[in-house]
Amino acid sequence: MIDMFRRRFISVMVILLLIISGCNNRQETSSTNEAGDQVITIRAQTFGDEQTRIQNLEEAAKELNEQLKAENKKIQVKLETSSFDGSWEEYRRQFILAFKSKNEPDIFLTGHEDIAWLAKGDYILPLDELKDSEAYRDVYPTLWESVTWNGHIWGALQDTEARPIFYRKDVLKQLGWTDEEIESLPEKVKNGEFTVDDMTRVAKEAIDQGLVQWGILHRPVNGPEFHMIAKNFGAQLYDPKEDKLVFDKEAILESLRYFESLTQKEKVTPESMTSMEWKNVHQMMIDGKALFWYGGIWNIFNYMDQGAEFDYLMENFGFTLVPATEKGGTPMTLSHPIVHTVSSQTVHPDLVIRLLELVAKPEYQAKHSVETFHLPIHERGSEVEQFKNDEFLSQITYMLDYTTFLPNHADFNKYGDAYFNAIQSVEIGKKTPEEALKDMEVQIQNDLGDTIIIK
Amino acid sequence: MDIGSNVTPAPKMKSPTLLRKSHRKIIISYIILTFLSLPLFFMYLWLFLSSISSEMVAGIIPKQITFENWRFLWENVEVGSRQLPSIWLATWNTLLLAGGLTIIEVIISVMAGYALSRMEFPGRTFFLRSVILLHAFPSVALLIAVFYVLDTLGLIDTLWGVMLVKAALQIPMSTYIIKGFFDDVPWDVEWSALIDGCNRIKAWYQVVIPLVKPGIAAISIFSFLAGWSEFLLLYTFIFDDQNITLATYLQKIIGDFQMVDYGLLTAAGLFYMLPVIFFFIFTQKSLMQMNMGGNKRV
Amino acid sequence: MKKWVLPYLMLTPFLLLVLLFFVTPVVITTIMAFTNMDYSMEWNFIGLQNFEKIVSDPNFSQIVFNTFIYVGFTLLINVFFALLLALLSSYYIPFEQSGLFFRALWMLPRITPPVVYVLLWLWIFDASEYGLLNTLTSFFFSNDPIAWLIDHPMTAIILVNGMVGASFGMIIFSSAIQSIPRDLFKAAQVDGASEWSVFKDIILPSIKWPIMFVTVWQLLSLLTSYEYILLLTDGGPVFESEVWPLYSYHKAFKNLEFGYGSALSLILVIIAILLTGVLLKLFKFNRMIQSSRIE
Repeated sequence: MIDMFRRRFISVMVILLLIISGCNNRQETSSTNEAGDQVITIRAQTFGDEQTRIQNLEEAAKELNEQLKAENKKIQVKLETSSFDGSWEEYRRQFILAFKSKNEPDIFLTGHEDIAWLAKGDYILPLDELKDSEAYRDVYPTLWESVTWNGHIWGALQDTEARPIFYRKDVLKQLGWTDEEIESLPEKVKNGEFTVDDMTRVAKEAIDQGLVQWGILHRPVNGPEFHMIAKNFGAQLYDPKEDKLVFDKEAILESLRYFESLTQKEKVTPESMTSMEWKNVHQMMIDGKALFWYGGIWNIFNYMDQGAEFDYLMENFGFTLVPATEKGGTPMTLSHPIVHTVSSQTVHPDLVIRLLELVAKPEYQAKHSVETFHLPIHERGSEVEQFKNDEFLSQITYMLDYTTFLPNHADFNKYGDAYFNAIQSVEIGKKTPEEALKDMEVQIQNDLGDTIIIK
Repeated sequence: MDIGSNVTPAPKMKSPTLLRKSHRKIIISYIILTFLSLPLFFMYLWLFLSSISSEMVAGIIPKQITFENWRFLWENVEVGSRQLPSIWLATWNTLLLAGGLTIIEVIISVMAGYALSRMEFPGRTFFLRSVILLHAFPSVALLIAVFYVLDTLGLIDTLWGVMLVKAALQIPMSTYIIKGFFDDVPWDVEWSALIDGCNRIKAWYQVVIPLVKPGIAAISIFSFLAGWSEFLLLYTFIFDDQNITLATYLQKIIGDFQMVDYGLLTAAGLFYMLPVIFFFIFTQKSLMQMNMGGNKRV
Repeated sequence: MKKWVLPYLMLTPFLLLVLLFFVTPVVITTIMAFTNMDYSMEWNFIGLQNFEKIVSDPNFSQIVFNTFIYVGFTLLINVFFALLLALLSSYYIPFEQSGLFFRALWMLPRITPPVVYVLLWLWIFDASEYGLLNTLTSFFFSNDPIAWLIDHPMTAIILVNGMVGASFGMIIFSSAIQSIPRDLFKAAQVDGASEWSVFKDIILPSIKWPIMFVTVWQLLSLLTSYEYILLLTDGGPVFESEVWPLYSYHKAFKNLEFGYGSALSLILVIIAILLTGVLLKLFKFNRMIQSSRIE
């Protein structure tokens, strides 16, 4: 009878051992196909809804294979792609964990501001050769700034965009603006004749006349737009010489006062802005329940996903740079280029880099831009017919001349969190801008220690 | 010996006055319970209605009935412009995870629970205390460390890995529950089996185990439900789309909250829940017999 | 000597899993708490700096306060509301089918996958006019949409977690109440005993242990759980609904400060262990864990 127990016990242990030893080591990166070529698997991880990010990589892989065949290299590439859905935080965490278990993708698409910590943590390879490569020769020069950290290039630019203010033309018309006035608003902003305060004033008027429920909306969750607003108020965020973040108290206070005036004083923005859902915020703009929107050009893509017609949007929405804070000042916007980074553990960096050169082809750039409302990274991309024919994007491209970027600093996320908390507590009326600023200072000192310059 | 006979007997005939009095009591109880349960009822009603309607009036009244939201059953859904994997793959993986977890958990906790209930050995009290303490452990805090362990074992990005971690988190609880059931088996039953010439193992296997079947059913249900609903571990330790489960499938529909398709989400959520509800209704009886270390002879 | 072999054999798989996924991670976490491990995942030992940082953390007092409020009030719901549900559904309503129906209904929040359950609430609390509560209030009081999750975040997380936890107590109390012989109630009825004395003299003694068990169990769960808060408010707005375990999670996985996050959770673990010890002593838990065996 003891035997019977032992048999059961042993079988349990065997099952357990089988389970535990069911190893899943790094997948084989190469095998051989029927033609006798060595097949090398390259894995690419992309982010977001934009299918063209995957499609373009796949097209580029096909092209690479043809080239390899022509060169008689006896090598073929097999591209495996996956697209991540979720927040950036989860995306970053997953990459770290995958990297540590040697399961990471060879190509990791991410926001440009991530390169700092990715590079510092030895996760990715420097890609300096791209700067001299034929494929990236005519990249808009300012964009290189966004992928540079510690003197090196760390990412292959994938796309960029601009963050204009969206405005409802129909509401302005109801306010008594002439067609001419409405159409020339972007021009006025460009010349510094229409300021942020004017925007608040117009928004207030529209609410007072019962034309809209809210005057100005901004994004509901933490993100680059808030730093854009801070920069608009003159905030310096980063000192590249010392590679340190900067806490620019005066300008940050100004920006916090701006958020206070939006939500508490003029009440043109809902107090609860930061707890709304994207879908509902978008819907309010589509339905014309709000006048101005601190948006991004890809929001057109989101609106269409939510059922809005392109023609309706073009008819009712206008787009302008973010107005200057003072009369005669310079307007601005912010771009957040998405870049391909290359894992430092990749077995075939040469092939991966060749693939990234191919994917920067103007046609792919134009296709991605037009289909998902982004902007190409280089001039050849914006000269492709498909892009030139797109009226909306063509009228936006000038904004790249006014664009700024987030700083590339490894700890920028912590700074961003502290700033968002300050904004939130001001908006819901829990703190005055002065109190929020003071608390933010304590917070970042605790979180960032001596890696931040307080000025 | 009232083992297994804990189920409420049907109320017997009573004298007329008592009957009237208790009727009033019952009716009031129904009213209170119904009132308390209304919000809950409406929440799930919305879940159902939203899953079959294309638009809602006043948040809850369907405007038009549609089965479009259930399209994931016969095709691969596209959210925005990205295509999700098949829901059947996700269902199969979820089933695999929940089933595997149940088997591992039941086997381990029945053995451990019996040893803790009926056997005297050094460290027994220590074990019993640690069973409670283990439950107190913030598994969240352990996630990053657990990652190191899974990585060393080569179990990252596998359902097996998640299954084992989940089992480890659950066995203290289920061991404690099943121990309560073993405690309730009268010693005489086992004793008489021993006298009849069985050895301890046979007595355990042939006499005691059948008596704790309700307890085994209870922990099976608990572990199955836990495996079926697991989200956090899967989300943290699984990267491959081939290992998608229903929880992560739903997460994919939600995406980054940029465009929540409530219709599709509620339909998929309901699909995810249906088996659990049926499972629960049909096994409720054995759950009810659970004593969980409550009213026991010490 | 030989007597020990069998029980330990039976405990081996249990011990193996516990060793792999509790003991080892605990050791790793403890070591990590003394490092400044961040996104680069390097083990740089920095002594007690993490713990000094916790004390000087500007959010420290609010998070401790929130944790107390959250655990306290949710626990009240988990025990008293659960008791009310159990009494109504298994004592006052003697028909098994109806009792079962209500209990099944109240099990729904627990068996609903967390993502879906929280989504129901997100829709209820939605700050725009499309949310359920706002639809109702604008219909009845025609007021402006209210941002529920901003104005009442603690209430929201307590309610959401309370409803999940209530079913646990309800099931356990119900089964305890149902195992009371019905004859006792009948006898009390015949004697004309008041409802209160039925509750105090018959029901309470038989659910004393279950209540204690549920209290201990839920207290420990609440101290260390965060999943629903994470999904509902993510600790916001600002730190209004941030509780200790969530803060540790945020530090580790959001800010990628694994060392600091580990230090935070190490403290939590120690508190949880001490608390368990106190409760075990207080309620003479030793009696419960004694062997039922008479040899």
